[in-house]
Amino acid sequence: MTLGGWVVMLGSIGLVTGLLIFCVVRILRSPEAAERVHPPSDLEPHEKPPA
Amino acid sequence: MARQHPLTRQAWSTRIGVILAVTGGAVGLGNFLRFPGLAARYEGGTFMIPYFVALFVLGIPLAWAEWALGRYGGSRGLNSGPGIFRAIWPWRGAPYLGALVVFVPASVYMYYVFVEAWCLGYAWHMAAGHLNLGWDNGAYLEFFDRFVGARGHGSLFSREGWGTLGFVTFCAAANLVLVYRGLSRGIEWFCRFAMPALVLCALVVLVRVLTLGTPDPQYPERNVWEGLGFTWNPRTAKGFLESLANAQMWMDAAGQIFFSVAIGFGIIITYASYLKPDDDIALSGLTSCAGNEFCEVALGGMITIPAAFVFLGRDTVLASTQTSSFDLGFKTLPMVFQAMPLGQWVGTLFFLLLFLAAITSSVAMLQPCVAFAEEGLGLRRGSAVALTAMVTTAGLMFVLWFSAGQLALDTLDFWGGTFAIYVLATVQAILFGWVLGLERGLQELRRGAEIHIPTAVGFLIKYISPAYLIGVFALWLYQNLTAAPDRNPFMAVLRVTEVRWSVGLLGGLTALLIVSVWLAMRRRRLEPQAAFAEDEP
Repeated sequence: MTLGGWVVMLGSIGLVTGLLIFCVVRILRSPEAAERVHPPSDLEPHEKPPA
Repeated sequence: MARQHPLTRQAWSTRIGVILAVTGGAVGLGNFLRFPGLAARYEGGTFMIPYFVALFVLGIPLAWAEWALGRYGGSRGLNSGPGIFRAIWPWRGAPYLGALVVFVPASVYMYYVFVEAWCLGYAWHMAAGHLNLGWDNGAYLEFFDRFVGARGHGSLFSREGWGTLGFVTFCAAANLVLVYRGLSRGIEWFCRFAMPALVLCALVVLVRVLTLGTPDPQYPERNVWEGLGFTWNPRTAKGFLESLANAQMWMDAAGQIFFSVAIGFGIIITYASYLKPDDDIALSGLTSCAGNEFCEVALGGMITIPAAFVFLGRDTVLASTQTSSFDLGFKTLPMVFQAMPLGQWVGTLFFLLLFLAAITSSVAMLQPCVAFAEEGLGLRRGSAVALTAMVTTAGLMFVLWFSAGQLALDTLDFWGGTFAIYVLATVQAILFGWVLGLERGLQELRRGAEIHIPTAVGFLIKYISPAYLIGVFALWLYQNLTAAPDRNPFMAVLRVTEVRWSVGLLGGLTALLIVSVWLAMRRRRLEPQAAFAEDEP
């Protein structure tokens, strides 16, 4: 593997991994991260877990 | 002030669930088979330049546009493609164009679930040791031909095809059960397990591949580092700029991004329609693209080609990248796994991860169909799933019967899985940039956004992405129209009976959708919620 190959491989993997980490960190920092997108009342009846 | 969600027939339960579902819809066999093949074929690392240009100019902007179109329609109470198109474009013909959002996933599902069954079947046969066929490539070709019914039409319905039919039945049933359980308890629930499991399987296989070293001392050049170099080295024998000027490479890179991010599949637009009007789509859309790219570049790019290179050498691998991705995955790799220490279990995990990648995509293809049956035809969920099952199973049976030479599969892939996708993606780009308009489009994209969307993105979506897309589409059309008669897919419609029947099947699906949209329009089921009209800018 040439130096150019290492640069391309690490650069490509670093770019997509960095982008993913950036996005995940932003989502986890968001106040809504652990909350539900929709409150249970939004869900249709048959989607609610059985009582 | 936050608005109420107008129609709450179904909804996502968590944000992570939405992102995993969209990512699952995008991650498919192409991430692990097609991408590494292209990277190795085109001058190694040189390919990554057009690839990333296409990602940032075409992939991410068009994915954002599709998220925005979907949420726009959803906030007006519409979740089906025809309904969403109607909400955006008051023209009476718009819902008929929107039927493409149902046509594309339905036609792709008809053959994709068959390929999904190959993955599950190969995982099973690998684990059971049935694929321990030694170092004879012919044995693997024979196994493949028998498994997929390539020996003759109807051969899958004879005794030797029962096993394959069992896997197909299981896959089709699993998809229908998941989509019947609903968005949050079916698709989202499944993706929350399947996507981490997929990444875990890929990481285990990756570790095995990276620790292969030099398995055969007789061939010291066949080692894992040379295998990685085969994928990633910028081989500039012709000169870097000359290599970069390869138009075919730019087209293939754009095509790979386009299909990988799942633009124009009808998946993103439908999934996004179940979001609330103020939910973020900018960060969610970017995250799903990033997740897909991670699976493709960081996992897919590191596994398939290096593993094959180490055991088969440069020439054999190069030859396998020139043919179909299926050849590499189902004819070449099983032999590689047999030669690899612990290969039986690594191979099982590899085909299992392909199966997970496939099923998260196929289940996503059913949702647009079910959404239209519910919304346009006024059916309850159970009836909508039953109707979808009937239509897609009819197509699946057609593909299973005409299995010799994969003629039906290839024809559906060409017209439904490539041609119609280009058309739908182009229509959606125009819908966002020109019908919704730059100002409203950007406003929609920025509503609730948790990352900054520069104004330049609007310019990109309105002018550059559609031009890029249309250019790639035109080149693709030109190549296929001018191909030699025996490889020309347009002429095949006239020449080959099975191809003509396959196109007829798609014609029947088109007619069914046109009638359904007409009925839905007549019964005013696709009218956007008036309550939101006053919020128009």
